[in-house]
Amino acid sequence: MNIILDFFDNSVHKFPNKTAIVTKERTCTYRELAKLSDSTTSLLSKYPQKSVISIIMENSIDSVGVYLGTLRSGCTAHLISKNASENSMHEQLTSADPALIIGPKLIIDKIETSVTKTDFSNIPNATCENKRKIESSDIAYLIYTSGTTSKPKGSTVSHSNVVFTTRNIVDVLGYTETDNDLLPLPLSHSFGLGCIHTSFYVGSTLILHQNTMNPLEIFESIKEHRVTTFAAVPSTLTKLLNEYPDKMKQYFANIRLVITNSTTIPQETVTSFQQILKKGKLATYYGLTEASRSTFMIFDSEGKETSVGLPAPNVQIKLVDENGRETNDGEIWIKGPNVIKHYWHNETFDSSIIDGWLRTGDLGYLDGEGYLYLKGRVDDTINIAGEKVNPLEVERVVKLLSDVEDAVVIGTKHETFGYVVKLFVKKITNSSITKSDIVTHCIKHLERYKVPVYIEFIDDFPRTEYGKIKRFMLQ
Amino acid sequence: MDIENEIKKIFSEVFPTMSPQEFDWNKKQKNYENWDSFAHLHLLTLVEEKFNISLNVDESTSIDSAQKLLECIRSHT
Repeated sequence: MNIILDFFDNSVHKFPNKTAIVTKERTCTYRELAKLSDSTTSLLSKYPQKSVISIIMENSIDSVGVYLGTLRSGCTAHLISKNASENSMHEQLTSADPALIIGPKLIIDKIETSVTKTDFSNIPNATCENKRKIESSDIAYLIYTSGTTSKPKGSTVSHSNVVFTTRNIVDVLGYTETDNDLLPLPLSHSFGLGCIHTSFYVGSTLILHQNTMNPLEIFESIKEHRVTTFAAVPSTLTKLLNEYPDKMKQYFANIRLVITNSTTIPQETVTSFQQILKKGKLATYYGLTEASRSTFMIFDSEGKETSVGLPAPNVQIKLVDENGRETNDGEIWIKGPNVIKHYWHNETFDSSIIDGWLRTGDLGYLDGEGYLYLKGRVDDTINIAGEKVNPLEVERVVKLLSDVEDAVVIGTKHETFGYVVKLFVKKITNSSITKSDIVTHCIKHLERYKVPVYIEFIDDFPRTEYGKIKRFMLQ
Repeated sequence: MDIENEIKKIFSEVFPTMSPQEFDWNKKQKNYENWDSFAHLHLLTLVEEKFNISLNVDESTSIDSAQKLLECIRSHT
């Protein structure tokens, strides 16, 4: 298998009448999905190969069909979240310079552009006879990332990147055609997109939800569709555990795999899932859009609950200190067939890829057995009178307080110390916690210079369309 | 609000290793083992929060004992 369509076509051939995707509105078989995608390929046949097609992704069968059809046309699928801000949408479209924009009518009507726009529902049914030759090194999709730290940068993910990563996911996490995969994650994000690739690779059935806003629908789906795997971000898992402890025990007991991603999971969440998943496992991975699924962690024993796991098969990870020396505690560098070759038309970003090694900007450390632990971002480190403070360490301590729903730490300038710690806190509903309660707690648990000097209560944090907190906007 | 007791409480929070018997209104900053610049900042942070006052730079730098802090707070309330 060299390209994404190889494994999708394989499943179409093996399971033509099997349900490929279930949504609230409708279902479709593998054969029907292939036919649907063919209409997009036909539409795009008038555009030169490797043209960029911007797709405003929603979690629908039409979106998936358009994505697959774009790949088959040999064009590059630029995937945009339907929740992208006007500014982000504008920046992405300016950078990607698409030949065509496809998406839901309600959204594309609002985009002011000279580029041709097509509504999902206006793609005529058609068959495309003229198949183009697609190379494994061709860019399959373009996703703009790093909205949490700076302006968006385009990650160009090739077919070979995806095929390699998907094979690893299947091998490590044991997906098979008998799985029913519940997916409430956005398909414009590497996590959600990787899940659909996985389903199509093995020929399983995907139960696609719009989001996780209605947890009761998740429980209903688990029961109705005999769900075997569930993918969600750590905050969703924690929320479900806190708000629906009884339902979690009842509905998740027979799930074989809960997969989450990329940030350290609260230890209590891991422990709770270990108790709830009677026949299954909780797993996580660490990766970036530009180096998807670089580690895997299956939480099947005690003692490594805060790790993101071991390097994925055939992926190398090393930690590098400020002087460029390899260490056990430093910036995470990744090399392997999952790492992109370059960013989209941006030499500045390309400089973070050196001889195939991607400098992630993430900080981590390795334990004696080679397990990776995340420590935050290189550029988030706060220098207080020469002492280095990792914001995540302070945030973890603050989050031990049960009245704190979320916390973010930044450095703020100070006349004497250069920088001091400033803490933003989102309290739980009806909490009466005070700033002095927090300072007192921190004094007990942190070294003096790490204790927040300024504290601000806020209703919510500025977030990207994928729910990640935009730290730079708090500066 | 009982200002004296609140100040004692703040001192016990900022200097958790200090026993209540060791507290002395006139004990000077230099005689505290852990009253460094950061402890000073946290004393001020807690005082400003608990008494809902804002201390200016001169006041902040003049505080070198619990007694001085008490006088400073009283001048604001």
